[in-house]
Amino acid sequence: MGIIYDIPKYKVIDPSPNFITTVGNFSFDDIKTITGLTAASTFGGYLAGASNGLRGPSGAVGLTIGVIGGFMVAYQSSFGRLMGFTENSGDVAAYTPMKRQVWND
Amino acid sequence: MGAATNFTIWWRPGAPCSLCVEAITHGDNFSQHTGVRKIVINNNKKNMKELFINDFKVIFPELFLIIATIVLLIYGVIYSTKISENGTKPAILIRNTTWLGLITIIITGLLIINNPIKNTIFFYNCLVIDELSTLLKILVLVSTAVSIIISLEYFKQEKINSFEIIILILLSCSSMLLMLSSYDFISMYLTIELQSLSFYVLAASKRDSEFSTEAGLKYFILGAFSSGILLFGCSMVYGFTGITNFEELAKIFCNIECLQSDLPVVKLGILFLAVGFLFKLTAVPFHMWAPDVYEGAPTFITAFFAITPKIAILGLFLKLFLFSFYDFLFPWQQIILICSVSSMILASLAALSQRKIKRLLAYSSIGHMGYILMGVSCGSLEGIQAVIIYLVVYVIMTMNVFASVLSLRSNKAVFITDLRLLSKTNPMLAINLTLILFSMAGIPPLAGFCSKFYLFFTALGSSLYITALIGVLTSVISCFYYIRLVKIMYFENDARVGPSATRGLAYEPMDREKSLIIAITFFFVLFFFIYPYPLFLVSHKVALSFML
Repeated sequence: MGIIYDIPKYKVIDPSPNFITTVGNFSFDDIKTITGLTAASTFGGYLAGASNGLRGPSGAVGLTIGVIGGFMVAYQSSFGRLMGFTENSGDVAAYTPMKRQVWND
Repeated sequence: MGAATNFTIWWRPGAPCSLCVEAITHGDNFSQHTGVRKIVINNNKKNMKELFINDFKVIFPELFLIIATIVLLIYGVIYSTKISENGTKPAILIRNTTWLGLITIIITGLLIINNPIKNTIFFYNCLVIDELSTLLKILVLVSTAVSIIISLEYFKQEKINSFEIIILILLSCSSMLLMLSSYDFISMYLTIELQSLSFYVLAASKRDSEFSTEAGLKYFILGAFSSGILLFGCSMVYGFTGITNFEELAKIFCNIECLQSDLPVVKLGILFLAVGFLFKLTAVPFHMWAPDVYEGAPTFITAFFAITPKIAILGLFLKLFLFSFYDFLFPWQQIILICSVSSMILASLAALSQRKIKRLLAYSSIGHMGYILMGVSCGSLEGIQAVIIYLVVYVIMTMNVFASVLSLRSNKAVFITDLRLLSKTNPMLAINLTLILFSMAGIPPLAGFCSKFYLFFTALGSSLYITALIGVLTSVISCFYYIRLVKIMYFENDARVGPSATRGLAYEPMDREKSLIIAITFFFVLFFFIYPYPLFLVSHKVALSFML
């Protein structure tokens, strides 16, 4: 288990968000990041394939790299907001509070 | 780390307890209860498999680079062997994979910059992220990208069709990123080996050339030997301390001056570790392989060897010796100083007699390593700052030089006499080379002078007077062979008889990518003295965070 020495500058929503929480916290900017990187990478791969007539496969490889890279960049932004390392006022306002259950005997 | 798990509060019913109500609200302290109720407060439930979530988050850049490399490898393997439907030969993939590799490097850089966690130790203290590793990782990625960009035209001219070269470059880049994050002997050795294995194959990548095969074999034998020495040093330190982690070693050796005379085994281990690192850094007297390997390997691979691995090895060297072994400063400082002085003297004298461009640049890089080791041996905050500044300036100057040399490859410029009258055939390239060579010689007011000046000042501040004096004298000697190239470019006439007397350099237009790299690096070197503060500030911040 790692040790993080950085002190969160913003409110901590979740100090160790799991995959579902992080992906569920993707904002519109994160979706734009994924889309933008994927599009740029696909276009770059398509152009790279022009030299040897492999535009399609090269574009597909660009798409794969772009999707994986874009998803990771968006994931970083999302968990950064959840862990309080980046500005997260929108996430704090939107985050649902913890549920409590009380049973009477 | 991690949120609280589920917990249960019990109290007896019938008697209200305001603190219990508060306890229910806050989920923290509760006083003596008079009721029994079962309360289950659901927090974010954590289990064992989620303990390492944060560890995988910080390793995203390296993870992405490795995944993308595998994707490129699969793509290359499928399409390099696939015969098309009309029976034509498989496609040439080298340019394709080069551009895709560049896209990969750009996204990896984005992942490093975007990482919200800047300081962490993870994977059971095997890896670390800090300011120094982040800065040097960005430098590694930039230099890898530039090395790939300047090789595009080379692939076309030399008719190289091995997409595996780009895969190996990306794998070695990922190993260097992990090397900069190493915080343990085991992770350090594994990453060094991954990088070295990629490099051995890259050195021998020109399979129809005897020189390339010889270079690969020499590099493999000597590299394996140096890795063995490095491992032996690790084993000695581990055998004495029982620890492989850098931070734990620093704690064990803290304030150990009084016992140093009783620790010959540790000092011997440190000596072997230093020797292993100095091999990789091409420092004298472990430099023998460098000129032969640099000369024999394909030129773009030489450019990659001269620029990128030194950044990673130096970063690791700084972390290990100035953090873990800082309390043994005086013993290892003497070793590093001897190697530094030897590198400066031998490189400046040996380069005087060189006739081939690549061998000259190899000895030049050995000399530059000598200056950098002088900064390392200072053992101070200013020393680390001077090392970082010198490294950045050295990388930029070397990028420019190799881009210029590669632009002359079509004319087969091998000997330094092949550069004669370049001022007439390609005046812009001649001006560029002149400036960069002046900068490498340390002539003011260029970037090379600024970095050397700060380095010598730092050495004087650490009482290394003789070393600084030798550094200045060897700089003066090295001016001779740098300015000799300028003399050949501007004043050598056609009548001179030499090994390449019948060859001349006709003008050939440079490709767009190389011209961009040369222009950017040229303007950096020329105008650095006007506004050096950004680099000085960043290096100071990194050095502070490292030392404190």
